[in-house]
Amino acid sequence: MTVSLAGPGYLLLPGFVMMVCGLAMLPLRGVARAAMVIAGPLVVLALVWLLPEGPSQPVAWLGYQLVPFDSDPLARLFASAFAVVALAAGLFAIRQERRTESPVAYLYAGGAIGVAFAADFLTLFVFWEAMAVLAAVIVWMGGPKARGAGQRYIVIHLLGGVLLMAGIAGHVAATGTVAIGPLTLDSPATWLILLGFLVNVAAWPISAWLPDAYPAASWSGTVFLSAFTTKAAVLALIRTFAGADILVVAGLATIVYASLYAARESNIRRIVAYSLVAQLGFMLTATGVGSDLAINGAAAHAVAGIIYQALLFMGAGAVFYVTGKQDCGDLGGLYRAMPVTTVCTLVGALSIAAFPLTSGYVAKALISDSIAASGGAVAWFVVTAGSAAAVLHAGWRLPWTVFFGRDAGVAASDPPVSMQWAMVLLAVVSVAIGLFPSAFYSLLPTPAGENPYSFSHVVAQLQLLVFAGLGFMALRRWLTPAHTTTLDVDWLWRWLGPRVYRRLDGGSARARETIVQRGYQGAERIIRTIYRHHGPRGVLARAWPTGSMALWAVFLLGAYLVFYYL
Amino acid sequence: MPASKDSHDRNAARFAGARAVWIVFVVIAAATLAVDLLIDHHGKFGVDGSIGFYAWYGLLVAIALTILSRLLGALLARPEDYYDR
Repeated sequence: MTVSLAGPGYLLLPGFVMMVCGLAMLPLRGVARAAMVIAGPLVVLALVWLLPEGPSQPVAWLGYQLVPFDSDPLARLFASAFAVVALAAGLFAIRQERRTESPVAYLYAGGAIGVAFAADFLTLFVFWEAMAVLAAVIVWMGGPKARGAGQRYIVIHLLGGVLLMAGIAGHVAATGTVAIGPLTLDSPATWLILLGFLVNVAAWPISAWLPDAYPAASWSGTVFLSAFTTKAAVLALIRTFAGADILVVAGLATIVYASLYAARESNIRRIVAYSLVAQLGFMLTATGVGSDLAINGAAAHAVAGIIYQALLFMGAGAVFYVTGKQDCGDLGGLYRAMPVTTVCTLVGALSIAAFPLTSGYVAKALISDSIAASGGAVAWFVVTAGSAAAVLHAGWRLPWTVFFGRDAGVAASDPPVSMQWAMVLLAVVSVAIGLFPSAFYSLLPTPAGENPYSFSHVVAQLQLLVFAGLGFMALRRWLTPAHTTTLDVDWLWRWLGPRVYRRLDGGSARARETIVQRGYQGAERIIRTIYRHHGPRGVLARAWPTGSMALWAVFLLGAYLVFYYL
Repeated sequence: MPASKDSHDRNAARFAGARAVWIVFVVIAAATLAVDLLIDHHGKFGVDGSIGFYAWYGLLVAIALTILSRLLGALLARPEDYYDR
């Protein structure tokens, strides 16, 4: 079956359909809502695969040829992952008491799917900005404590949007086309587009917004947030800047930064947020390498990451939902009370650490091989170190300390069934990708018969992970997570900015006060002078005697006579 | 914070399989090292072809990450409520 996309057929745009599902969900309650939560993403998934390949009929708008839908393997892959994770996260969030959260999140997912299929910059921009606003709303729904984080989120993303729009405008002015395609970094416009994308992909040094905002959202909101914005930006970068060397540098810096910050963190949702940023570093590096194999790796890792990061945020969110705690120092020994959560979170952790038989392993093998093939020694060693570091932040802190560590005596039980199903769904997908890599690889942009499970590959990866684990175990007394804030780049606008502003504001207030006071003094002096002459006792207001009037009249007439005869 | 318990209680409440997990870990580590001898190494960058490369590199990463994260803490750690004051 094929569905043509022209005229009213545009109502079938997968992103648009997802958004309509979100809106339709708003008034629904109970079973009807649950049905919509599950059916919506399934319909979208069907559309993603049923709509014909290739671009849709262009739409003329203000003289530009817009192509809001262009189906290729990359778009279908990302859109499918977005739909699957929306379904799982929607299921996870069914118990969410804030009933507008899931509808807003489905609108947000629709934005991401719209970006995946957009073939022109204007369509991309519209969906892009919709995502920024909707994500900020989800952060705000985290409660009063999330207000500041949400404000910072929206400001940074609108700023990123301004950079992107300025870049797009410059690019369109220079080339006359709005079509998305490979760009070279040879003009300010393309640099601006790159910067706009890098804001959303949380590349260091513009990454602090992510660990700031995501853990501030509700236990279910974080799951939605983890999936869309950053991965849609990865897709946009693959389409435009694949092979740009600067992405390798940004990616490696992001891996090192996020691994170090994650190692210091004790809040489980912040730990997962930092490890998410580290994984984005892998995707950026692979995109920067830019070979067919590397792009396959970046896409595979993005899709695997969407699934296992959502799974880890679900695990952390379930613990938070049940116990109300999210500091790993307050948690421990929960495996007995929360067996399902424990197993699912373990699967997520093994995936993010790229343990064989998980999705992370299958995806990272492509990235590692592509970097080795490109000959980038530094990149390869940093990426390998990043995989080993994941053992600490994603393997040990979250699953080990929280579920198997010293029993902290916290009352707990597995969360409601809907949440368990959501976690099981994503855990199964993660393991399925790990078990059947060839089926997964066949969905990638350039299908290739890679075998990630060569004997030497498996041994190497196991050795790396196990020895890194033993190393962390031996060094654990120096690795106790701290109850501190580790300053990040956001110090600039959270600490320095407000203080500089206050000081400037204080200075200008003093100056204003002086000017106003001087003005008042001057005006008072003028008024006093006028009053002296014209006031009730002033010279001009006095009553004059008649005699002096006659004298003045005689004097004036005399003067007149004198002037007449002159 | 959890109510403090005496150390005996805490040990009793620990994950019973923890010791088994560590044994498995050490066994896998030893096994990978043993198997490593059988593999024909062909590293791309020289060092990564050496025997047991992934073992010592994993340990090196653990040490480096520990030192660097301590350094990061010494330089940039601030009280938890730093931004809320």
